[in-house]
Amino acid sequence: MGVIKDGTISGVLPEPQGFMVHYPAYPSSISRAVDTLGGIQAIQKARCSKSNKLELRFRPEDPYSHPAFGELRPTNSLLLKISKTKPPPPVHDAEASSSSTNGEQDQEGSLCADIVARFPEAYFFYGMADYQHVIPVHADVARRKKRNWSELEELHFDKGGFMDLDHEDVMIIVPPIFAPKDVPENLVLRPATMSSSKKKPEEVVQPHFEMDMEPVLAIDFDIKEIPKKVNWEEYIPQGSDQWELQMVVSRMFDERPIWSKNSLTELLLDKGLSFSHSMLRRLLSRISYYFSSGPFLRFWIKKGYDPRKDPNSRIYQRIDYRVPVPLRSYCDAHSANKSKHRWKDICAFRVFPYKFQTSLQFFDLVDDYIQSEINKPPFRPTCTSGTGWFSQHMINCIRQRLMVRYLSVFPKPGAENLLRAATLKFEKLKRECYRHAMKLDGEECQQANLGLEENEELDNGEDEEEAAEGNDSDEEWEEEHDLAGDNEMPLPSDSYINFENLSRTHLQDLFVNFPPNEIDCDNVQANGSEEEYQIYGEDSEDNYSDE
Amino acid sequence: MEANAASHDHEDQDEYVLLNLDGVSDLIDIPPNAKYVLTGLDTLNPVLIIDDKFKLIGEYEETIGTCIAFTEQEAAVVHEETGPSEVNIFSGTRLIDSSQAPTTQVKPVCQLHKVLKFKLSPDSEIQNVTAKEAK
Repeated sequence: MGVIKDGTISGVLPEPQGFMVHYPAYPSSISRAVDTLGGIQAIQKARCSKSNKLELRFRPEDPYSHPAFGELRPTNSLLLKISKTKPPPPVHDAEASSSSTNGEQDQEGSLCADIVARFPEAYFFYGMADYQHVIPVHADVARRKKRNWSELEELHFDKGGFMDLDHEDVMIIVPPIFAPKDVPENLVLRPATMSSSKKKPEEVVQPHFEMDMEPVLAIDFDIKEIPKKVNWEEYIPQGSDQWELQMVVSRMFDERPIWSKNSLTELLLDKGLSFSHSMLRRLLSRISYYFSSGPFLRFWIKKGYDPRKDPNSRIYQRIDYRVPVPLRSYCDAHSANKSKHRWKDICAFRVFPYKFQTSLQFFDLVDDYIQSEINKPPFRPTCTSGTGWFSQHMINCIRQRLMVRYLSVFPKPGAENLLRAATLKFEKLKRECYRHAMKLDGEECQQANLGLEENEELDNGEDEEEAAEGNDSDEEWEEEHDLAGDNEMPLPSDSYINFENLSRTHLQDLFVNFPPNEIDCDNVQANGSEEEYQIYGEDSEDNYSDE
Repeated sequence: MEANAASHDHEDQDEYVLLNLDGVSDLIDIPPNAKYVLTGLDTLNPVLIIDDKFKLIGEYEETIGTCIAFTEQEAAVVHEETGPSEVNIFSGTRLIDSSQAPTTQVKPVCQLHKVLKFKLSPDSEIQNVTAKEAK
């Protein structure tokens, strides 16, 4: 050992021998550390083995403890030992000399330091210390084993102890190993392939404009604020194709604020304009919107126009026609062929629809009765989701009128009975509407229920105005009576006789309420309508895009 | 040996520091039985001069966990030293066995928590000057 003088020592480096263990913990003692490494025997065995692995168990008493592995690696380290030496027994001469030299050094003694070892190898624990799965039973067993080890051997061989241990062993389940890998590895993830989406050639307008637009599709009927008018001229360059198309569609909405898609499409085709479905949708989305429910369901409505507040929008309301069940085979046959009618012909009752259900707009229908009814003053002050501006009676009457008109143009035999039944029902509904309007004048009622209904309606002051309108309706009725009289002569006697034979009871009821001439007038009117429409020839059918 | 034993008796406390030369083991080749001079032990950066050629500057670090030093010794030597004449024959047999499968005894020496990490001094002229001064 060399004494440190002025912080300096010198010597010769020793031979390389021994090894270091970079222990990944702070053991209470070296002996405990050796135990966790498996003891001297295990360390020697590890030194001789080829795997170069040194096992470390943090809880050596637990048989299920998962070990951490230390890896042997070359290193170049020196061990410096520093120690303090007591001064030798005091001698008179030495004491005198030391006291004269340095009093403090004499008290403290001298420090010695030397490099005592050189280590060429060391164990490093770079692996992961697995989660130490501790089960209470394991802890108890470990504690028990410790006691047995410390206590006398007699207790160790006690039968009770063995039985308890065996009983607990049955409950012990080997805990799962959390990770199959001991050493962490770097995973290189494959880069995600970016799929390039091709833009549609129709995408001419900048996307920010359409993204900023408020929603226009399937708006709820009870929404408070409808979409506002948009100045589309700012976003589309003037003179371009988009500009021309948008101008045409915009003008159509200026003339008529609510359009059904079928009517709009056919009109555009008649003007010689043809484009894809998505293009039309974009043109419409810029200047119009549609509701998801209500009397204008899926009709395109001009932005800024609220049909719920304008009673004049009643003429643009929607109504559905459904083909009777016995006649649906006709629709099935034609749907297979995929042949189509012109929308104009469907609305003019010149052809029978090929679809089970057709959405129609009042404004498009070519029928005197329907047009006269929808142009009357509004029945109610507010627009409802169920029937819009009209009463349920009127809606039923118009729907029955649709039934009569379409059945009369059914091209195949088999609809005669349905037509007669529909006609009778229509007449009945019409009389009920007429009677309903008449009762508003305060006439006597024949049934108690009707009387109650009349009383309820009389409470509403606005109904009185409608009653006055009812008088106008009566005058129109008389006009129809006069017009019908002129066509009395052309009535075929055969059809008249058949009609009379099938409905004698109904005729008797009519006699009670109305004069006999009225019956003839209705029948003659129907025939007159047929004769009148025979003048027009069927136009050639053109294909138009459906919804 | 006696001197060592005497000094061992006088020792009260022993403190160990690991001198880590891994940073410079690729740069220098330490010959066996090389002389060393360790200066500045009372400073934060001791200087280690090996064989009057290489000057290394040290810096203290703390270990992650604990460093435990083990030494290895051959067991046959111990047996040979301690055996009487009769047992010598057995020792001879063991010597033959040990030559086939050498067994070593592992013995823990100490545990430490201080590491002195050394790196080569960039200025070589200073080395020569210091070496001359040492001489």
